[in-house]
Amino acid sequence: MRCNGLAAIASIVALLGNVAASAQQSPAAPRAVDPTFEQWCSHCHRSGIYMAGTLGLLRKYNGSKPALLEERDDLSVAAVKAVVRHGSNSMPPFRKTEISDAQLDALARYLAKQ
Amino acid sequence: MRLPPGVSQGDFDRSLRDFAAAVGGDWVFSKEDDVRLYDDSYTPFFGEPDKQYQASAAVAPITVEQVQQIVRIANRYNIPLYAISTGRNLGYGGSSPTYSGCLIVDLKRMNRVLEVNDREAYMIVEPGVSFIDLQRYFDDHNHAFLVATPDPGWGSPVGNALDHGISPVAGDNFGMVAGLEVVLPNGEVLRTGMGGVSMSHMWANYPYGFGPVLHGLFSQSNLGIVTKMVFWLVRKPEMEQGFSVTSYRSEAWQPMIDAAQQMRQSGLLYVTGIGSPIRESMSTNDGRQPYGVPAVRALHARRDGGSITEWEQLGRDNHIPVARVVGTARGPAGIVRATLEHARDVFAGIEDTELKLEKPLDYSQSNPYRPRIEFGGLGAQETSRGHFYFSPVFKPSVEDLLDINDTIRKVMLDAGDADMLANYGWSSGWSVTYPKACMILIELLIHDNVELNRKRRNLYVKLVDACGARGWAEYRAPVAFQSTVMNQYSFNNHILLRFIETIKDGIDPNGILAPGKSGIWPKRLRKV
Repeated sequence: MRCNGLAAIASIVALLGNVAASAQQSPAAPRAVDPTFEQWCSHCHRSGIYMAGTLGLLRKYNGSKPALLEERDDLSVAAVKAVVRHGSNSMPPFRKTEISDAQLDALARYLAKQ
Repeated sequence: MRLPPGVSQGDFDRSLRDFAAAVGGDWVFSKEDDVRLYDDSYTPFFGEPDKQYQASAAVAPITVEQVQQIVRIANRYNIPLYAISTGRNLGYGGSSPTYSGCLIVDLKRMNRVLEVNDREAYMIVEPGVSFIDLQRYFDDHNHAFLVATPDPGWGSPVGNALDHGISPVAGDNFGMVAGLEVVLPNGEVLRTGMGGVSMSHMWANYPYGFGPVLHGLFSQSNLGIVTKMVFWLVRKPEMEQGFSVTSYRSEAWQPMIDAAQQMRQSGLLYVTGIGSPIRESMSTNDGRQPYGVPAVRALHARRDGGSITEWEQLGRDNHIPVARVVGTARGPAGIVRATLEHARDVFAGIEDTELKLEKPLDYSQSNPYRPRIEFGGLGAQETSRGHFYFSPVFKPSVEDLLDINDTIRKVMLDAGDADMLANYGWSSGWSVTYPKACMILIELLIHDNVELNRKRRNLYVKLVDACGARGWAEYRAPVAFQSTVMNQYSFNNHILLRFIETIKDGIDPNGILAPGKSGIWPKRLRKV
């Protein structure tokens, strides 16, 4: 990575500060983190300058929706499943040897807050 | 359903039943939705599905014996196989085969860390273990070793090493391999090095054994399916600290590089790098100007690329140095500090240079090499469909750095690709793998625009050919370009490839393993 990527990261690090701040202000999650989220999604979709997923969603929504997936309240089970199995932008899809259908059910319900 | 070329529907169906009998029905994937998950998610053929390499089905074994059975079944029906470790070699093909119709052997379920030896600093792992899995294992079991991770962390240490992947931790990841266990194309299991001695306790300790050293044959090749790998490990250091040395005078550049390289060759430094900040400032702000230096872009766009004098003047005018080297010291704090003091003394002997220390990294507080998913900053970029890399190898010298950059710049200029010229018309070189070689990594982004993707693929081939004609070839290549890259290795009428093909024909007469991998085709598919 260099050039455009570096410049873009520099310009949104400040926004990430806002993400972290809003995360701190949110009430503590009342339930345990889904283990599939922890294993497969957290490295990309939590707060931090190297989190490609969070950066991408920050770019996409520019503050109109939370960049952190666990803070979203508009995700449906079907949408989560579709993104995991088909990918989205530079996020690749995940195979069934990585995330089984049963694990995907639980992950989708976790992110859809069901 | 896509059939393997030359295989009848009846034979394919029978093979799927046999594969299911070997691994269990749940671990054979032949439905369209499941098989498409093995497509290259960063394909340079985005928007052109007819040009993409696609699998026919996939099978996911969990034991070596199952891999043996799969290979024997494939021979029975002439089914081409393509093995993946975790399938996350993104930018180089991911889980995609090199030949459409291959049946993917997905080794992700073979995910055991079989041994970590604290005293002797080695481990034995299966291919499905990811860098993230390994970090978790080290954390859970208090093993004080670094994970030699690239990006993304879902990748496999085994798969990465087999593709000659690099990391700032170990540099040459395949260089840390002491032994392999391989299922050969006839289904037999081979262990390399001291693993060749029955019941030996020495497999991890001495990589050569006796006779020809074989483990290199199974890297970037299609001569077997690797099911275990013995790695030597890098101990977690106390600290790490980098430095950079810059100059506004071009005459200081080669002495600076020589000094850094000598420290590297003496084992004092790990990663080193060479560059020219003013020449690279066409699109980076270098902390000074928000959109790069317009005069720099103009000079790169000029056919002759500017003289040494012009670049020095541009550097002085913009307060950006013309020459730079960087290096990193790692180890016990006292030794790192002494190394940096030594560096200060060495570079003080070269006129008009300035040495700056980077912030030290204290490993007791954090690990800078924890596996992560950054995708090379893709999340922060305009692109939406991934990337692939052009990555030639050259000498760490001013002459080679200037020459290769000039060659690349002119290819971009001739192609009329202003965006690539603005971003990659000049690149620094990183000596990550060996002290004697540098690499340039040029990222080609994949877009929704089919025509632009085609233009970038053409540019890639032109870059490979232009650099190859000057003696620089790639260390690694995306699946779509592996034959193009192998074609650069043309000494004595391509004897390198012809020799590998002779081995291929001997041990894989049916040509079932990964046809086309690294440009190595079995006899039945070889173009004369």
